[in-house]
Parts: sequence; C-alpha cells; structure tokens
Amino acid sequence: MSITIVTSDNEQFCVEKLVAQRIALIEDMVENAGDRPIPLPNVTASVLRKILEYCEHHKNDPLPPYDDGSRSRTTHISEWDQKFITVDQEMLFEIILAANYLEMKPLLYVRLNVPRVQCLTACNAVAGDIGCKTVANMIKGKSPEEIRKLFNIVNNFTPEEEAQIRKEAEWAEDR
Amino acid sequence: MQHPEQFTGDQILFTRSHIARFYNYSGDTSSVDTDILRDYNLGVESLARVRDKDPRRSIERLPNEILIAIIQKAAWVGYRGYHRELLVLTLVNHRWAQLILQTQSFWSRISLEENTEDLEAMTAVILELSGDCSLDLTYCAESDIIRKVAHLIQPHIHRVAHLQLLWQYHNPARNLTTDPFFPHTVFPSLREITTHYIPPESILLWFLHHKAWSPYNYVIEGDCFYINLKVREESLVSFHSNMLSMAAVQRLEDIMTLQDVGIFGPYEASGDSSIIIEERRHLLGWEKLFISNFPWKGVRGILGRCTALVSLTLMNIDKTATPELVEILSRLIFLEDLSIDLYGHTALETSAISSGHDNYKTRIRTINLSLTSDISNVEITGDILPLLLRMSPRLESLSLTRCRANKLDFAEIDKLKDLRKLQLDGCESTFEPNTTRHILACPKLEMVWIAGSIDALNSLGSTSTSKLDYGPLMMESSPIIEITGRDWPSLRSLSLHMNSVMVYDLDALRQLSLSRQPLVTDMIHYLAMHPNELPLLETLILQTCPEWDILFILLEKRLLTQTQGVKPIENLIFHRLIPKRIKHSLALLLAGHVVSRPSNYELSMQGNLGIFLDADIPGCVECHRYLYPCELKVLHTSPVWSEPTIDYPSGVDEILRTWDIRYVQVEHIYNPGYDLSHRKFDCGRFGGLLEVSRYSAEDCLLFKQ
Repeated sequence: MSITIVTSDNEQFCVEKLVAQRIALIEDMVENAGDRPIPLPNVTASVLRKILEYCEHHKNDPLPPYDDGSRSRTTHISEWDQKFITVDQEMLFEIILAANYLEMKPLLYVRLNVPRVQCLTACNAVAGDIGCKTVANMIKGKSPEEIRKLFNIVNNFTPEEEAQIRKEAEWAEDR
Repeated sequence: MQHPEQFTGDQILFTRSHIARFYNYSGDTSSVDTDILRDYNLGVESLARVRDKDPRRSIERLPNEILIAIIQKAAWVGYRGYHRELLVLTLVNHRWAQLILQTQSFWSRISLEENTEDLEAMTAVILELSGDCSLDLTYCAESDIIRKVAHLIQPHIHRVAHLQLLWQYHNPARNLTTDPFFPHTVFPSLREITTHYIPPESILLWFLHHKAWSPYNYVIEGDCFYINLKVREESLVSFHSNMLSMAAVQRLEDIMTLQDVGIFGPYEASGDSSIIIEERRHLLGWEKLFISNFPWKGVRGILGRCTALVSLTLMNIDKTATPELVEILSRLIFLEDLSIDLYGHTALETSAISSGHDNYKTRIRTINLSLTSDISNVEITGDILPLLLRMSPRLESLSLTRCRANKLDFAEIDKLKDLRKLQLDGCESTFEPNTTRHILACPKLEMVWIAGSIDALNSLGSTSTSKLDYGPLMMESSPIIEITGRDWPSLRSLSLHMNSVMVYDLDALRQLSLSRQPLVTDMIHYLAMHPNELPLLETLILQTCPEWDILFILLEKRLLTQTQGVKPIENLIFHRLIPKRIKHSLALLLAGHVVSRPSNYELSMQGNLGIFLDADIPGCVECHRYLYPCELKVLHTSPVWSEPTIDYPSGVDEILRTWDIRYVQVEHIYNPGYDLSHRKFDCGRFGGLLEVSRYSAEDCLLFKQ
C-alpha cells in the first residue's frame, strides 16, 4: 500500500506506507487523509527525496533501546548514515529543519520522557539526530572565530564585550 | 581582463596550473609573477566569500531547541572539560552565549576534581547556572576539595539526583567520619547512588537515613568495592554490586521491581557461593543482566528463570558450561545484546554442542565473544561461534576477542545479511598459508575493526566496508602490510595504528587517521612523493607530530598539481595544539591560497635542531617537535647528539629524495632512547583536538590592495 505526498514545490511522491510511517507527522496525517494526497508545505522535493532515502534504508530497523540521556550526548554516526548526511551545508540544514518539522527527532522522547511504545515512529527515524551530530562534529575542535566563519554567524559582541570576554577566557584562546 | 573577484572555478584552476609551473615549493613565492599570484589569491578569496556568506549556509536558521541539542553534543568531551568547552562556545555570539548560559541542564553535572582552577568560583557559577535543575554530584569522600565547597553545595542538596562517591586510595579509614555529607546527610531527591570502595558500614548507615533506600539495605554485603543503585518511584529498579553468596542473590530475586541487575561474584569461588540454598522456580522479569565471576551452577539457576532478558553479559564463565549456555540462550526470545567471556584450560568436544540448536532463531543483534585460554594451537572457538552465528540471523554487530577463526567461521559470518560491524581483537585466522584472501560477503558490512595479528588483516577484504581500523597489539617486525582498493574498494575512512603500511588504489578514501611517529612521517612523505594517490582524501588526522616541511610540501603539491579527479586536502586534525603562525599558514593553504610561508628549513626538524639542543631553552621534546612554546625545564644540560652527516638540501626534489637519511639521523637526536634525552618527552599540557581548515585563517583581506 502506498500514499501520495505533495511537497512545497508541488512535486508528488508515491511512497510505500511502511516507509512513510517512519515519519511521525505523516503517520498522524495518514489516518485523517484517506486517499487524499498529504501536503508538506514546509519541505521541498529535493529535501523530501533525501528524507525518504533515509526512511527506506531504515524501514526495518527495530526500536532503539531506551535512552537514559547518554545517547543524546554521543556523536557517533554509523557509516551508512554518515554517507547519507555527506551533503553540502545548505542541504544539511534543510534536512535538520525538515526532520524537525516532520517530528523525526529522537530527542522528543528523551526530553519529554514519552514511553517507548508511544513514540515508536518518533524515535525510529533519526535523521534530525544524525544532522545534529554531524553539525556537532563540525564544531568540535574549532575556535569561536572558526565556528563563525564556518556557519556564517555574525559576531554581534561589541568591541568592549569581546575584549572583556577574551580577557576572561584567555585560557580558551589557545585553539 | 576580467576582475579577479569575478573569477569562476575554471579560471581559478587555470591560474593555479600556471602558478604550479613556476613555484618551487620552497615557501618563497617570489618565483611566481606577483600580479598573477595576487589575482589568483583574490579570486580564491572572492569565491570563498560568496560561498560562505550565502545565508542558506547559516546555522542561525536553526531554532533554539535544535541549536541547544547541537551545542550539547559539540561540547561533550567526557565529564572532564565539558564546562570548559561550553564556555568556549559562549564566545561565538550573543545568541550562543544566551542559550548556553540559560540552558540549566547544561550545568547539572558537578564533578569536583583536584587541580581545578578557581574551584570555589567555578562551583558557585555552575550551581547558579543550573538553576533549579536536578544535579549529578561526583566527589572524593573526605577530600579537601569537598570540604572547600561544602558550604556552596549545602543549599542545593535537595537537587542532587545522582550522587557518585569515590574513595581516596591513601585514606586508610574504614568509616567515613569527617565527610561533610556522607553518610549522615539526607538527599531527598536522590534517584541514583554510585560508590567506589566506600566502606559498607557507611553505606548501610546512609541507607538508614533514606526512606526510599532503607528497605534495601539487606542486599548490601561484602567489601562493596562498587555499588550502583537506582530507584524509581521509591522502588529499586537497578542494582549493581558484589554478591558473595547465592543467599544474597536470592534476596535480590525477591525484589520484584528490579529490571537491571549486575552481580560481581567473589574473585575465587569460595564461601557458599557455589551452594544453592533452595531451588527457586519463580520467573524473573529482569531485562538487563550482568554476571561476573560467579559459579556456573548459580548462573544457570538464574538464567533459566529470566524470560524477559534483552541484554545479557556473562564474564568468566567456564567453557565447559558452553553446551548448557547455548541451550539456555536459544530460549531467551527477547535477547538482543549478548556478551560472553569464556575461560578454560581444555578444548571442548565440538560434538557436545554441535547439533540440535541450528533451528533456533533468536533476535540477537549484538554479540561480543571473548575467550581466555592458556592452551595454544587449539581451535577453541570451533564449538560456540558457529552456533551463535546460526542462531542470530539478525546480527548487526559481532566482536570477537582472542578467538581463532577459520574459513568455516567466516563462511558463517558471510551469511549474516544485516551485519554492519565486525570487530576482531587479538584474533588469529587459521587460513592455510598462501590461500586467497577471504572477501567478506555480508552486504551491509560497514565497519571492520581489527587489533592483533597482521595475519587477520591480510586474510580479509570486503567490498562494502567503508570504515577500516587496524592496529597490531604489539609492534612486531612484520611482513609488509598492504591495504588496497582491490580488497577494500568502498573504503572511505581508514585508521591505522602501526609503524608502516602501504596503501594503493584507495580511490574512495575521504579520511585517513594515522598514529605512531614512523607511520605519520612515512605516509606524509609518501603522499608528498605521490600527490595523486588517495584522490578524494579530504581529512588527514595526525595523532603524532608530522615533519612540518614535508607536510607543507605535500599540501602544496596536492593543491598545485591537481589533475582531473584529485581533490585538495580540506581538513587537518591534530591531537595537540600547534603554533598560531603554522596554523594560519596551513589554513591559507587549505583554503586554496598560494602565499609565502616559513621556509622548509625553518620548518624542518633539522632546522630546529640548534634550538632543541640548546639547554638554555626550556620545553619538552613534543613541544619542540610541534614548534610550540613550552616552559618545562630541561632535565640536564648535556644533550646527546652527533652532527647529521647530510646538509639540508635546497631543492624540493632533493629534500624528498634524501628525506629518510636525514630523518633517521635527526630522529635519533630528538629521541635518543630511554632516559638519555635532556628533555622530558611530553609536558602533557597542550593535548586536545585541534582542527585546521580554511576557516582557521585569521580574518584576511590579506590580498586586498
């Protein structure tokens, strides 16, 4: 059985139900939608294609074990996932934002302490988490200035503030 | 002529190839036409600026909740250093500073350690920033440190949810009498307690003060070298500690709320641990079970009644118990993670367990099998391994330690369609000499990790593996190790911990991690000689110091002699701080710029020999290698050295051609042998991960006129 999803740029995707149900938001919408296409006004076709690639690969994955919080701190990414997330920075952020919108983040059940059974889809599809881990790995070992350049962040400290902060954190200046 | 700020990628490539014809890799760019060089650098910078300033690349697009999740993962470097990393990240901008300082959960962990600068101030700040969040407190019982900050922690005792107490090894006392909190203070919100070598009398006393915990004081016995208990809604759900007797284990069995149990048996099967007091029949609802050093008879009695186990770890199980163990495992229908450590002095009759279990299919996804035996040349895994593999068609991760695996074992491994990770630690393969390499057929195998004999590495290959990690257990004088694209065609990441290796045709490799001095030195020289090898290599991780001159030559050659399909290296990761001027020069190079830099001689070990030998200049050996300022005093003023017999050449070809002779001579002076150097090897002060990329260059509109 399959369902149809329509993206923000009006592209239609015919998706196997088993695959689409990895996306919590869609799983919720399927019941009410009947045979009608499911609109995703915040996701473009190119991003949905990547998300579905992820869901297809992980469609048979069992439920991850209960997370006591330690998992959310680690930054290990499996090899397939790493290959999957090797995209340019713009696409990386698009995937993270889409995973957030589509409720594909295991952090939901970690933070809110949702019982395992109720959050099956939310915690199975972890594209958002992989995206966060990837960005975290990009940050590790970099100085604040490097992080600003890498992620196009404006330094909005006043010169006085920056001087004060640098003085207070001289020990951090080595890197 | 087109303005360089409007250069396209193709024009950059064209100009770069022109520069390559004139640049001599000396660090001095005066041999290149100044105008062309300036235009090229302007073009590179302009292209990078357009790309980097694209708002779609900005992390500022992400909402706060996601940025918090990212920052938490980025700052996590283990308990030590976590707060330091967080504070570094507050320097990014206002938004980051606010998020970090206002997210209370970031500051919920207080680990009081010696040598913490500004201990009291730091503790006060963490307590303040953690708001009303629950706390995780770790300290050394009766230490000076806890006494110093006790007055700060006292008002927050009601927030402590996890208390971890360590014991000072030099403290001979058998009771805690002077600790400011333990055992008399009540922690009303405590959900978890962990103790290391805390006297049991004190623990029992502490139990008496706590309503939720006092009903369980009868499970504590013996020396309690380690205890970890968790309660949920006033019921004990997790217990890990030592147990001296079956009677104690049976007391544990009567706690119906337990889900996670860890039992450390006596190191020697003494006392009454081998005696079953009464035959128990009631089922146990435990989901996780760890048992170490306990007689098999007792373990069997417990396992036979565990019907809900998801995770099972058995340490130090006598190998003669294997047939019964396999029988029990086949009945654990929910089991997903299995770790077994077997020991034995005799080879097990294979026929005893080789039949009858092939039809059982479990849910097991992870197997760690470790064998300890003093028998050599015996096929000690022939019995259990194939059976476990046949029982586990859904296996995703297999780790074997000190096992001998033969062709048949690998044939069984090949049948695992979901296997993603294979780890061989200290394993030998029993392939006949000169047999063809076994190419692992598991279609999803992503990662292979091998530590141990070279034989195991040279026996295997995989078409699907993208990550390979190899390190021998000992630095043996080995046959040549070759890692080739023919045997590992999909390899994207390679980590090597050895002295030498040869790599060929790894055309998909993106990341190469090298440890050990000879390997780093050798591989960088090889890549400088063959800049088109590893054409897609993006990231080079150097766990020891490179020879800076050769590294610069490698990067410049890689950049300037690019042919179709060869990418320049984009990231260098060091495991130590490096000088700012070198970091800046490397960053410019990684960004694609061609600019003057320190000369090869200035960067070389030979060029810095005079400074290294000058006993008036302080610093450890490692800091001298890294050209990093260090104040560590010299050990004595009589360096051991002999004049290198070869002068440092002026031309790059000669530098590379004569590299090995120079390296051997100079390395001998830097590292003359145990206890001979006039400098301590490593001051240990400048470790830590440091990444250099094009973003590491200091703000440089260097090329603006």
